[in-house]
Amino acid sequence: MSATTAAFDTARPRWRATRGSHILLAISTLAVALIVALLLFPGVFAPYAPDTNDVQHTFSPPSSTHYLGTDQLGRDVFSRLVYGARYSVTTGLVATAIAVVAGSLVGLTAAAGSRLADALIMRLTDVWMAFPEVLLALLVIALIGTGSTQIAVAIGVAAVPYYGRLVRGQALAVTKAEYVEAAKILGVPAWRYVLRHVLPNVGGPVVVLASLGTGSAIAAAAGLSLLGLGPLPPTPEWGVMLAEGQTYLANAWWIAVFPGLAIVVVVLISTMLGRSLQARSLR
Amino acid sequence: MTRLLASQILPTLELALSAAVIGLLLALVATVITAGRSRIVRTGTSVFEVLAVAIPPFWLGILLLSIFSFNLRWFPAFGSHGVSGLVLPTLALAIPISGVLAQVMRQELELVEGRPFVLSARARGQSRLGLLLRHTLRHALLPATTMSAWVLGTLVGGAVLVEKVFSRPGLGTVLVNAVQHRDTPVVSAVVIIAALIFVVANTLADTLYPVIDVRLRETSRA
Repeated sequence: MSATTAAFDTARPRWRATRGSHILLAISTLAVALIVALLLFPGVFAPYAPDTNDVQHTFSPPSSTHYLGTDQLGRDVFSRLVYGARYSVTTGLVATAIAVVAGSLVGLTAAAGSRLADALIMRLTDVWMAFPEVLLALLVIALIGTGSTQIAVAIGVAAVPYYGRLVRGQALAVTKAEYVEAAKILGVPAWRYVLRHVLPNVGGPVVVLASLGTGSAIAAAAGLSLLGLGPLPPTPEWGVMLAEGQTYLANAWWIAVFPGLAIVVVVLISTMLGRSLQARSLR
Repeated sequence: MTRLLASQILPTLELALSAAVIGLLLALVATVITAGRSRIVRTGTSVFEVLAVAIPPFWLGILLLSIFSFNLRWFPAFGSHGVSGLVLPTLALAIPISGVLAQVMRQELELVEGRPFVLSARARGQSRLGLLLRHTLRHALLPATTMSAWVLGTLVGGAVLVEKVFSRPGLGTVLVNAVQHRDTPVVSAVVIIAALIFVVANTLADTLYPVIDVRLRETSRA
């Protein structure tokens, strides 16, 4: 999430929505639909099962029978990547969902609460953001243990302050709007106008940040799995495949190179979607 | 524990700092060469920058290893033996960072190049290079300075993964062992050291602003 958030923070709204951004949005929406299809029906796309060993065809290079080659046990790399999306992409999505929900809670509390609460929460997020995200995620994993779910929680927790700050800023701007003032004067309780008026208007920028952030959450999850902190080896998770494939890099480059390429493609799609949504919202 | 961390922090810092320097240099070169050029050049570089940002350093490391260590045999594949062992891990960390920095710096440089003072300097006969070195590059360096603490933090975090890929000694190995054995004190210590580096880098960046931007010197005196 880090790289894309930084780009998001510094991006200036200097461009307008052009035909290019519409095309970009269409392409990225199609790509997202394809990924969803991969997640739901991997069997339709994968020519082989992810865990079928074929001892006669170990280490075969990419060919028309095995599009991306086979690994040390003769398993089809392409099929493993397709099934692995279930682990890798889902972990990133769950992590982002955790960050969005927790970040919105933190941000809304800061914006709606007293001045003291706001100041306290903002200083807390300052401290939170001073820790590099990967290291903070590692600290969380040290506390709660290893595994796919734990990785999602760890990455989510590390990303919370970025969403919290965004939501707070947006919420403060919306709170000054006349319809919110009107609701306050009418005696609507704080929790109610926050939920009914402020939250829906904060949504746009959060969706943009979340779609930019999902890609890097997926990359971060694969990185933590590469360190051996995620699912265990027979799992076709992309980071695990990278770690396994690296052992055979000297004679079979395809085992490790393609899982990484899958990560890059997913990150690019999420960046494209985020950027085109951003360009639209600035119209 | 102190001794353990003290012996392992140097290789990591060496890697992160060299990646920061190389990343900044790459971004500077890319910015200077491409800012204000034709549309094709700029579209090409922004595609490259987006790609560079999207590539996780740990995978770039595997790619570099596969090409330069196993196929061309230019660099060693494991360990940290002198400068040649540092080249590939440094590049793996520096290239993604340079993508982010170049994006920000080019945006700023192109913004500044439209200002009247640039036209005036050109009218006085200042060459393009002289203008860049004396006037406009300072502006482009400001956002990069603001980001330097974030860059260092990201690099220390990324170094953990890149060290694993290149089997380099360093905080990465210590940290992964500690996390796997749920040795929370060691993990906390490393995380706090990283945060300390972040704070120091931020303070350094703040003191660097007036050096780079003369206008900030004036306002701070007033």
